[in-house]
Amino acid sequence: MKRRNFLKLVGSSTLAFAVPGCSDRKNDPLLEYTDKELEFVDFEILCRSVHPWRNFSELVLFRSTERIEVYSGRSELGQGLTTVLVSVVSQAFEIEPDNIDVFLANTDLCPDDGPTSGSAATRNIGWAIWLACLEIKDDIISEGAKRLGVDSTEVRFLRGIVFVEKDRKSRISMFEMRRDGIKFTNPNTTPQKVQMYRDPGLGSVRALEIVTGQLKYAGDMMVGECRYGGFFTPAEFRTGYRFQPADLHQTLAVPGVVTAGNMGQRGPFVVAETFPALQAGLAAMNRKSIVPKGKSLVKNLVQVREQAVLKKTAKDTGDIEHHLKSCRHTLSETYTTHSYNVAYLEPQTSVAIVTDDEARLWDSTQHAHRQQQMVADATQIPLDRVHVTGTNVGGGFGGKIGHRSGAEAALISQVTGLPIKRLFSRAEVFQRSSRAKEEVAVDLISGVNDEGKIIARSVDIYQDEGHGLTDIYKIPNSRIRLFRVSQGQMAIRHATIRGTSFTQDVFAMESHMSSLAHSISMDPLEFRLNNVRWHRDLLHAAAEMIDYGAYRPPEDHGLGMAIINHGGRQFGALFVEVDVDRTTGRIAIHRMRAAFDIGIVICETTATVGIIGALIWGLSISMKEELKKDENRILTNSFSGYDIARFSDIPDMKIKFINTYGNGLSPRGCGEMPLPLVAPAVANAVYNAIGVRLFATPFTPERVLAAIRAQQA
Amino acid sequence: MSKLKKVITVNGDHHEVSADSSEPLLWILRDRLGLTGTKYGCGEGACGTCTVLIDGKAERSCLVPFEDLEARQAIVTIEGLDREGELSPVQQAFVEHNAFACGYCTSGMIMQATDLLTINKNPSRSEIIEAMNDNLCRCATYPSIITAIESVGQETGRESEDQS
Repeated sequence: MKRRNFLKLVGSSTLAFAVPGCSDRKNDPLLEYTDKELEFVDFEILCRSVHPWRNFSELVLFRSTERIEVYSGRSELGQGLTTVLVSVVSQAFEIEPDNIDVFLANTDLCPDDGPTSGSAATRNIGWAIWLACLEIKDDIISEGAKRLGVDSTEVRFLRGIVFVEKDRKSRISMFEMRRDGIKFTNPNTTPQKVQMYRDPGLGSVRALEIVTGQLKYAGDMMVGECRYGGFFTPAEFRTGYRFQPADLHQTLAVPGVVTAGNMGQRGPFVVAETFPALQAGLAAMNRKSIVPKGKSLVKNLVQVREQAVLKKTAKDTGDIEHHLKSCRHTLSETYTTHSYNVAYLEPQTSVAIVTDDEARLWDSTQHAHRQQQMVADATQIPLDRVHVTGTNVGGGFGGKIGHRSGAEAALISQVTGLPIKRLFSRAEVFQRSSRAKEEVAVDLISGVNDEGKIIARSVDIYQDEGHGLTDIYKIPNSRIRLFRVSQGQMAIRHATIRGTSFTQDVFAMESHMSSLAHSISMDPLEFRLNNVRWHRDLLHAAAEMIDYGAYRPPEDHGLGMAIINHGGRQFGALFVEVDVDRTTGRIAIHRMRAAFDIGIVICETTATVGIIGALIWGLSISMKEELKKDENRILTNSFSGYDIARFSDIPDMKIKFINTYGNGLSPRGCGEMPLPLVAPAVANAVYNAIGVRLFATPFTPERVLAAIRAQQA
Repeated sequence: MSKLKKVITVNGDHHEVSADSSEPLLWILRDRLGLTGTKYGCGEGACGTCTVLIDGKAERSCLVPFEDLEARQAIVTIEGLDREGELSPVQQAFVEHNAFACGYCTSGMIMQATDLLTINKNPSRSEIIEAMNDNLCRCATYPSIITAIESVGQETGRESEDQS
């Protein structure tokens, strides 16, 4: 059976390894062990290791190469998956990182182990590969000791060789064992078997390629050999229009345009020699080809809340109404959030070559196998004849799962017979990508007793889809309901950008917590400590980092805090210090101090960059970003009209990792979790600074001024 | 638009290029010369991803039309920044401080920082922020980029002190 087919059959993450070159011969206890002895036969499958509780399989292969190869269907988005996998295998087999190759997101080579999303790549793939390595290493050591006639406690394992500690000439390589038919036990490893695992100080393994411009993204493929292709995609695309065949005369007259055509309800398309010529060709399209269906969209979610239907009751314990009535202190509030775009710097990009019965695609995707399916569906080419290579991704954040550039490139290539590069323009990213958060509204009502314990709370969330709320507090009577507003009524589709809507939900929940505390004249930290299920150590750690107890705010300065439980796996606490200019409404964030519990931190350097980045993302969407739209269109079409966080926005930031929950043995991910902390922490700080509660994001100066004036009125 | 044919100088090499007069340098570098380290981000000079050096000065290559280029101008891209295989000090500092995540904006960041450090050997933090402020990083690796640039400046500053 061909290796490729076998991999598809087992549908697993795959690890291949062999004895690497020795990097430190001077201190090498096996110095006299010659390279010749390390040679081994060319065979493939050594052991398959299944890790049932993660629902992922790992395969360990020996190949006739002096390198270790790791395969996963997930993508490298800059989250550091490559580095994590190198780090894991390097540590497990005590070998140098330089000897490990990682192959990701290739439908020919890699198993489909799901989309790269949910901050789960390290948690799932990294952890699974780590356990696979340990299982196999354990088996190698046991088998080696048996063959050497000693107890397994008397041997050591180094770079694929088992040797007796006291008699180093007594040794055997795992490859020799394999030749004789080693049997691997494939135990169901439990987390308790695994020792705490820490960062070996490994920086990004892609660093040299990145700083020299050699790292390849999808747009860097087939340079000079393919043509640029694109569809006519007006901003009204999602608002109920259909296409009729376009008159292409003006487009075909544009210099550099190679060809153009109509492709049914996918609309007119253009192929050009250059990207600027493509844009000019598309701009010359006659807008009469767009036929409105006569449907007009609503402007925002608040306008259609009355029509929302109950989609799900996520939690319902106790008797809410009864206990709310019995509480002396109750507080009812509504919070709303705004629309924003994923706005990655690398637009969605695909390069396709389609012949009669085969398609090859290079794609900036977070899920290569889904792109494969989409291309197969669009072109009607059998799935096994569609080959997708997921390239390095220039930022994904959830916005490059199932994006359309792949199928579009393939379709245009199929029709024209040309290799096609489909590069979304910046305007398309904003207006057409469907990768934007829609508005969310959250109604909360809580009842608190005299001791500062929350007795009852009801949370109603209004949004068009998605729900990621995990409650943090121990509340005996608690209800969380999700009301869904029909997507057809909304201007944009609600996307899972760095998580589902828990970013919005946490803003409401954590703002409400501080509001509740103030309503009973209790310190917000004390109030949280009084009600929280876990996280006390996290709260204390972050509070200490900002010197909460000794803080004496200058005029119009204040501290705010927020905590989060991300899916019961990742936890964080953030404190911020702000000052507010009452005349301009401008909020300045001076300090951010945060503590996180994310389990084992495999690569602290990478995790720190990711967490700091997520906090700044949180700052960006809380303070600056807002998609402009009217009843029919998304109006934002460029970075000129959409300001994201930049150098001048960055406060003094410090973070810390602590382990407070669970056995702490597994990595649990960190990409999404820090982001939602920022909006409520800032809103709470603003309240402490000037006594004004911000009920809606983003906290632009205009919105803050309006809140100040509303309170004065 | 009209076709032009002329010689441009990129990373010390002379290239005869035929392109539309209005075609931005970005696409000439990427599609005609194969220098893909310079990236497309917005096409309107708002993100800094396509930054290159022209006569030592950082420019947005998406805004420089072919017709404005002259053979005597020295264009340097990320591929031409290292010297005989040695990383430039800025490249080296970005590696040491892990000053990237997805890496898509990194070429532009490095070119912009190179311009800054040519003019100002040891910039203060606020000078770095001012000079770099129009280069965007969606992964928001800004703090480590600032640290990387500061480290180059401090090293240069130390060398200057040693020499004096």
